[in-house]
Amino acid sequence: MLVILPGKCFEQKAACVFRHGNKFAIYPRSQTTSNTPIAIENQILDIRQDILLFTPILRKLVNESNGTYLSLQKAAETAKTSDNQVEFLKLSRQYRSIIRVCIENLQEAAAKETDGVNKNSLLSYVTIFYSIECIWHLCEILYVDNIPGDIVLPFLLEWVRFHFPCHEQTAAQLLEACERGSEDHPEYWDTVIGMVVQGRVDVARALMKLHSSVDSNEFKLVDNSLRSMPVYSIYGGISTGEFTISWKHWQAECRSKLTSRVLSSQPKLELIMRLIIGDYSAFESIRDMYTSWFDLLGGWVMFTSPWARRHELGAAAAACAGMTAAAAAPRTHLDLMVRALLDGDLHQVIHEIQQMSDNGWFATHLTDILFHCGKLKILDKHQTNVTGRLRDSLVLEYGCLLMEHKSLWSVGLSYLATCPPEGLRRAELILERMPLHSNAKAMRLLAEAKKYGLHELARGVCVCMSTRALGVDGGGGGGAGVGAALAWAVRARGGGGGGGGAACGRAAARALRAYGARGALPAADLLLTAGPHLLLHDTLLLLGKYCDFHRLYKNREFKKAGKLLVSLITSKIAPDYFWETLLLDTLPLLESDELIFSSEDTYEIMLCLELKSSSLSGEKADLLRLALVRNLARASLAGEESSGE
Amino acid sequence: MPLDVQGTFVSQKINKVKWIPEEYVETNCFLTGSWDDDVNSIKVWTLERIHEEEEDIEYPRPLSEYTVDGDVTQIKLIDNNKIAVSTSNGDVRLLEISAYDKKSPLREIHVWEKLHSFGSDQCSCTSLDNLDGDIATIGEDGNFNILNSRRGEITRTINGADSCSLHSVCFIKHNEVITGNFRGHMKIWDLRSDTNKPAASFLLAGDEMAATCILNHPTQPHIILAGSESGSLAVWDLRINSFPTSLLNAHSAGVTEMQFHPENPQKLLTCSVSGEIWDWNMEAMTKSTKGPDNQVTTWLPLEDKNAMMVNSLMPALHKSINTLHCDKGKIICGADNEAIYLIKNFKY
Amino acid sequence: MINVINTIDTGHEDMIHDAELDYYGLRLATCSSDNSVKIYDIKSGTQTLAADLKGHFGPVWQVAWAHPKYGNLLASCSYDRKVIIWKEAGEWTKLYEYAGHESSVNSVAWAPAEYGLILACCSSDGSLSIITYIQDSGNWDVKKIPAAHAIGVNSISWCPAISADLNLDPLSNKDAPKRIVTGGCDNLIKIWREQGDQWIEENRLEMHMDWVRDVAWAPSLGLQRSMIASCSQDKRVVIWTSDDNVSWTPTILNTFDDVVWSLSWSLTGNILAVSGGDNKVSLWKESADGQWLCISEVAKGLGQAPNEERSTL
Repeated sequence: MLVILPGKCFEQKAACVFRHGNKFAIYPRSQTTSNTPIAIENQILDIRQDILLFTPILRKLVNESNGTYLSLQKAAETAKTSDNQVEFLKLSRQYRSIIRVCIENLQEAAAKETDGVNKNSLLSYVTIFYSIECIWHLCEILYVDNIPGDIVLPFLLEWVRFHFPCHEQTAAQLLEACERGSEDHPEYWDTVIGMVVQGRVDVARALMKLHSSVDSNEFKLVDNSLRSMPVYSIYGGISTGEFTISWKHWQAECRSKLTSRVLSSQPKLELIMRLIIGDYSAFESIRDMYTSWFDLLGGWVMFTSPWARRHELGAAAAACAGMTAAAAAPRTHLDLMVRALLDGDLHQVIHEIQQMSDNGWFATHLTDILFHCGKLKILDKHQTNVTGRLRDSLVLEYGCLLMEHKSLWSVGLSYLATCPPEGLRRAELILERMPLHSNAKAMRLLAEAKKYGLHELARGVCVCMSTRALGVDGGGGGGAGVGAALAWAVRARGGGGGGGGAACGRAAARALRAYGARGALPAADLLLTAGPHLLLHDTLLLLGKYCDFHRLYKNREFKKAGKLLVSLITSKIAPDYFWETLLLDTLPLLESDELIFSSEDTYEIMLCLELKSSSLSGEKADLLRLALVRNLARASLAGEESSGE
Repeated sequence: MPLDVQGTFVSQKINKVKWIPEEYVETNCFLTGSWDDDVNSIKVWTLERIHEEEEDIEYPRPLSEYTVDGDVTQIKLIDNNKIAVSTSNGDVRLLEISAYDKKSPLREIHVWEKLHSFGSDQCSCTSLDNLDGDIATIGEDGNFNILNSRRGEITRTINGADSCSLHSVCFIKHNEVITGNFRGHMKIWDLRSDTNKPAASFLLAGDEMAATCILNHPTQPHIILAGSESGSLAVWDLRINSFPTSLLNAHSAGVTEMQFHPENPQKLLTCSVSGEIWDWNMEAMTKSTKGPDNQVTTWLPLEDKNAMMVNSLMPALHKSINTLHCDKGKIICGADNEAIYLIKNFKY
Repeated sequence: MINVINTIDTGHEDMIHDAELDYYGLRLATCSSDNSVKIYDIKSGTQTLAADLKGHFGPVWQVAWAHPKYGNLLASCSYDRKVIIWKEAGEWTKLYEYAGHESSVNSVAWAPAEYGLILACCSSDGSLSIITYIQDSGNWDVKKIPAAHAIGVNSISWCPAISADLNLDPLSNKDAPKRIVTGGCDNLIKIWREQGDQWIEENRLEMHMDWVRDVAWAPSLGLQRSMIASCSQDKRVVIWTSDDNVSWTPTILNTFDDVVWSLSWSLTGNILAVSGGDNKVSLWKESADGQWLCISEVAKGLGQAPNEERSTL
């Protein structure tokens, strides 16, 4: 992949800085300077790789297949203790049905699209997903399904009929019309032969009945041969050995009929006979009727080795792929994949599907299901089994890709979570950088973090939200953001992270300073209900208690208020800038009619005043000293009175 | 008939759904509001049969789209063809659905831009509620507004109603509104009072989790339900207590929306971030005592989920179910897996 | 398909030396020979100039964003021998200025946020400085490592906080020592470890045959493996790996046609961007079997108008 950028931009050296995932920026960078300023176009280019899967239609595929993927992980968990092959097959079929729905949606959209370029790209997606479904289906037959007796033929025929339907419509039309002399239809013989190579012997025979010379000996002979072909059934009560003998016997009979040259007047019938005895040249002669060799594969296996087991298909594939076509079409990607699949070379298959331009959707999901079915064994050059690593690396890539999307991040996360520990670590790196524009999004991220045990991430998010709430407040200098900052900081608590405590401290300090500046205590509603959370940080504790002091004072509970204030002063947890406020708050209580502070309390306050006298102006300190002395006198007097009585 | 669930992938995370009421025919159209994407929108959908032979299978088809700036945070019906919408950029909109042609785009009647804000910074309007044309809006700024939908005016604003972000709001009666904040701090506001102080306040729980939704009973408005970010549910009777006496552990993650069945208030529906959608049989929660002339119903505190007949309406999704809305036997819900689910044949 | 989604006209009057995106990728800071630092808000395809910071009196070499849990802070370093920490509180203002170096300050890097608010910088005077914010007092504490590299230090990078110390759970590995890697004009790469209140030279990595221009410690993925990339005027890029942060194994990523100036790891450390004097930026990725492959190359086009950017897959 080479990207060529507009040339004029970079007379200077280029450098690169990563944004999130598929975005990065390129800018002209220089590490040297010149004496005169150089006039250059100092542009920064934002570059993004277009992701196919992010188009709305394919997002449906992404989301729906995510559900199946997660169910599969659950099934794999139970498969550790019991056989769960049936469940795997069900899920494999679910994947295929999702792909088919996707193809339908794409076709629908392509039909509606008027813009030529868009239409073409939609149609190219259709082609991609057609191939995906085709390969998946074959994989399912060969590796996921539990085929009775391992006899693959019926499934292979079904696959050919499903993906390469040829002549089907003509056959149906002819049968429906049911007219003698149907051979006048230009495609009559092609259709009959097509039915034979698709293994639909009954349909072929029914079509032959519509030929005007159906009663001729030649027709009867071929019909008889087709009718008497032994069909293997696992439930038929005969062993494969017995079946092989009777089948070979049948084919020998057919061969002798052919050599007797009774069919020489009917070349088409002769061709059918040659096909059913598995004559290579006969198959090769009809190869040009089909676009690919897959069309012939079912017929070839049926008439050469109907007892073939799954791992024996390689030779058949080689034979069919080797049939020379007049218009020698270049080997397609699909060709290579089907060949590799039939050869049992899954490593090659996965390598090939990684080259498909579907952003790894197919490679990831197919590798995952094959891995969980225990059918994938990939060795590296040192003969160590790297299957798990391959599966993980695909899932990690795919998960990270989705994490880059504004909406699909949660889908990406659920993939990464299935590859511990690296997946969750990657998720953490990406999630902590996810812009959080609202509390709702932050709360959803916290819920996900909790689900996957990403506690450190959760704490980090809370601390950042707390800092940001303070920043919102930054312009005004008031206390508007303090409540939110405190609430987020409190959430960051626990787990020994410590980040929460510091954030509490920052927010509480902001509140105290705001009070100092404006005389109104912010977030009182929060502080009065915070309870044990106040203990998270000294400054927060001070703030909470101080708020309670205000409440008591307002309720005229002066005794209690005084007691609390003294405890705040003597605990010495207040930061320097708050000492003035604390000390001056004693003034109205010292001056009140009722005696509030005992002589011990007064001594304590005096002691603190002298220790912290630097935080008050001389005038204020003197005023306070005077009030304290007066209170001391009142207190001693009251003390004497009470002791004297 | 058994419960029938049908999912449709819509390529948007759905945050809100609402059926559009019809007067004479069966309800067939609904609204969705999306969130958490580069571009979000409100869409009008209709249910239609694609294949004539399949009588019961109806597919949603979009009729119109109205894009908004930010996430759609709430959609409430004001009347049969008007909706109030709040968005995370702080706007509130009053929109009209054409009564004649649902395909015609939603029409703006009033727009209150940046009703909630942090000065020049963006602030989410997190939810709104409406009662007889009055709309109560709340935001992350902790402010609380009452709007008059007929005159398009702001009739009351309480700045700093809460020091934290507000997340849920519900009209108890004309002059009484309850709000819930980020920490589960609930406040009841008497709109007749001139002071900007709540008439009552209490904590939903001591766990510092948000009150995500509040609901009152359709026929007994003094019965209040609140759902928490923790997945818990509380119910209480305002005549007895102004606050709930107990909290029930319900869902395993936050409750996203609750609704009493409009035809049968004994049925409660809830959905959750955990991907669950449940219906509750509320009969088990009430105790009837016969008085001399009339029957008094007392609400019991929620105690044991199992004792209360909770049904799951569909297998839990792997992603959050953000919203649900029920009309007779049809329930529609929207989820973070970018799908909407139509549940039919719900017995009520 | 690769698309240029946006071009940002920086308006700098001279060469740009660095461009850094903030933590969330929403803001871009650039610095230039015109002595200024600029900050842009980038939102869905549009950008607006948010601030034009003037405070340096020489070319500004590098900028670095602090972790958002400390608020919006940006550090810049300049030829004028100074480091400035800028803070946004409504407006951008100078929060702290450090002038403890005797020559051009070439590189600045914030420590992993877990360690607190700590900035490291390096200078042509051959020394390093570690500047730590003390929250309780609101002061900045400076520790200097003199004579770190002869002739000068070009680049500095921190070891991620969650790292691969053996015998420690990588996810709760709080007590791993702080480490820094530096590259200098003595062709050496050095790894520094904090021990008590000292920084000691723990390792010197010899491989390059000319000045080391950039060093970059890869983000940690919680695996028992640490990775450092280095590039040099000897045209080579080297990947250093270690499973204990003590012994390091070099792998030559590639030898380029020209001097390699700078390196940048992607967010999850799986892709390395290399940019050099040949006007090319190439992206490198380690395959499952440990080979480094070039997955993409961005080159200067010749004579194309800006709208004609092409891409080939």
